[in-house]
Amino acid sequence: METRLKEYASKLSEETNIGLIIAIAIVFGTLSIMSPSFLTLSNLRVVAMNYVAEGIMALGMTIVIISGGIDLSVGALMPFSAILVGTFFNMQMGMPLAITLTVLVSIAVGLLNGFMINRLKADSFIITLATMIGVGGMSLILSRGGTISGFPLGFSFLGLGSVIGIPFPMFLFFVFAVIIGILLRRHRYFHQAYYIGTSTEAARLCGIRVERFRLFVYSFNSLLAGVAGLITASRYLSAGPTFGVGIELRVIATVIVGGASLSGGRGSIDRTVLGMIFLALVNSIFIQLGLPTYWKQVVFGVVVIAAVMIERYLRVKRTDAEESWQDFMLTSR
Amino acid sequence: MQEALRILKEKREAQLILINLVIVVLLTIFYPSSFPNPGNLRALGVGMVYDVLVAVGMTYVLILGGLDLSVGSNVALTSVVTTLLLAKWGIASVPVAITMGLGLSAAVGAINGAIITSFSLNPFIVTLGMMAIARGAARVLSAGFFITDLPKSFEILGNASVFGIPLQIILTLVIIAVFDFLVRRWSILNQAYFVGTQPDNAETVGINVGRVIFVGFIISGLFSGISAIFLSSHIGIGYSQFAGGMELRALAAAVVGGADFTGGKGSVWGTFLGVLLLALVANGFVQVGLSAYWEQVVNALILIIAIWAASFSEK
Repeated sequence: METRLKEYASKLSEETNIGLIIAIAIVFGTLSIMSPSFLTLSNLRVVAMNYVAEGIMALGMTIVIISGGIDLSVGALMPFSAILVGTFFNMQMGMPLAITLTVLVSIAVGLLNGFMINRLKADSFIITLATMIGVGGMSLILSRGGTISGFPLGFSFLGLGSVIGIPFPMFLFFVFAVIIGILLRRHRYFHQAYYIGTSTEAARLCGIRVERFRLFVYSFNSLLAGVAGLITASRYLSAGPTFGVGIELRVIATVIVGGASLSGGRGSIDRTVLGMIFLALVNSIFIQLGLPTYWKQVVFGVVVIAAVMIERYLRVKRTDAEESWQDFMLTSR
Repeated sequence: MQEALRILKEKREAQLILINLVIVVLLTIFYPSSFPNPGNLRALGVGMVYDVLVAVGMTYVLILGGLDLSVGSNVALTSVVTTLLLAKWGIASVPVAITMGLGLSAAVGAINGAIITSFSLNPFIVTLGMMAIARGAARVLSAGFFITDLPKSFEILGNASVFGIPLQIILTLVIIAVFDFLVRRWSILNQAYFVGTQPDNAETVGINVGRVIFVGFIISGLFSGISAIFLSSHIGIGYSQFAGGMELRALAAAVVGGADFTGGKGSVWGTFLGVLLLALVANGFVQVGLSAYWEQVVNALILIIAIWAASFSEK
């Protein structure tokens, strides 16, 4: 009986990130005790909304990272889609057309990423870095370094509207998270990400069209980044190149803290969501407890490093893995 | 002639020298009064100093097969601490403050290296965390303000000139030349190429891979520190928002210079030429009068071309 329980427990901790759940519980509990205004619905809504753009983008990034890649360009794509839709509105374009075009452009950027990674046989890091710089430049060109306004009021539905009492962005996030989570786990096409992430060679030998999948994964990720940009623009009814500075690193950190591995083959949507909840809570500690926000960055960095250290330690302990230097190296194509 | 063409096709440094020469020639022909102007050249050179130093440190880490995202924040933190030492924390001696600042930047690198090697963690996430920690620490220490009231002797370093050439530029060239020599000749540093391509084999052959990586990150931190000293000295302040985004610029320059994420590739002079190329392009924009907003797009294109060129010699 006891061994059965042990087996179940170790399987559970293999499947879900027990450590993270405990950490979330601790932070949540501490906040609830120390700050009376924390546990209110409106406050929790604010906490969640502060992280919703990262959350949506993290969903797509999860699949990218599981497949062994990385996408830095989302950090530039998010403000770019906000600026682009703003530019369209300033050209007196109608809402449906403006939104559709922006979404299409976002997908196109992702396709470009995938295409270049395939053709140039280069690491996704450097390709998406180049795209990030390029798209960032496009943002500067379109916005002329300033902020764009002149959004139609109806557009604010995206960011400020509600569906059955839940803010629309959060609603979108839930829907995406559930659907993508199920697809990643059950649908054969999405699940390929794990095989490709473990070994592209082996995946190819199994008949998986790695190049095709890459095109899909990066355009899907860019799509979500574009959506995040639209939502952000809608919330503020403005757009500027300073939106979401550094967001790509926060998004990647969210996925990694959740338990995915940069070398690919590990991770899941539920883990990412846990990572998101954890970081959103940590993020809100400062406002809740009235701590100076200067410390935000320091705590964020410490939390990220601690999270991966612990996760690594637990994994090594559990599987008794032989450590090879290859594991830590940046790329293991 | 055949030989020359072959070298051109295979060596990134040669390609970059050629491209840089072409740009210099073109700019001199079309803007003879403003480009070769000593004031312009001086500004060009000085602007390069900070990026070159950080990029060279980054190159070494890339050769190792790693990555250091914390360099920009390291620069900021070192600048803040060094200037605080001089302005508020009672260190009267400039050399002492500089040494302590450099020690701090090296320590940041050491912490990176220690965490990465002891836990076998991916340098991306560790240096990402450190980037946040160092930048946050810089803000906390400086409370967001500039740190001023620096002793005049400190500002000499960043502002003096020898025969009209800024001291910073001369020192930077000397430092990277020495480093390049060491990397080529000193096996302890040269091992980085082996470690970067086949770390497990390197371990088998008896190389202390952990130590090489650890030292590599210290080197990167140290270069960030040197850059910080020059920067603070030149502008005369310590500032927690210095070097924002510098890590990605350094990375791009290193890759243009021939370094690669898979490790085992790259060189000091290649990186220097990469930084020079990007600086010349930026300067070219100023000469032509093009909006600086297009600069980023052009930089991205240059980066893509460099990657594309690398995929050829990959054969």
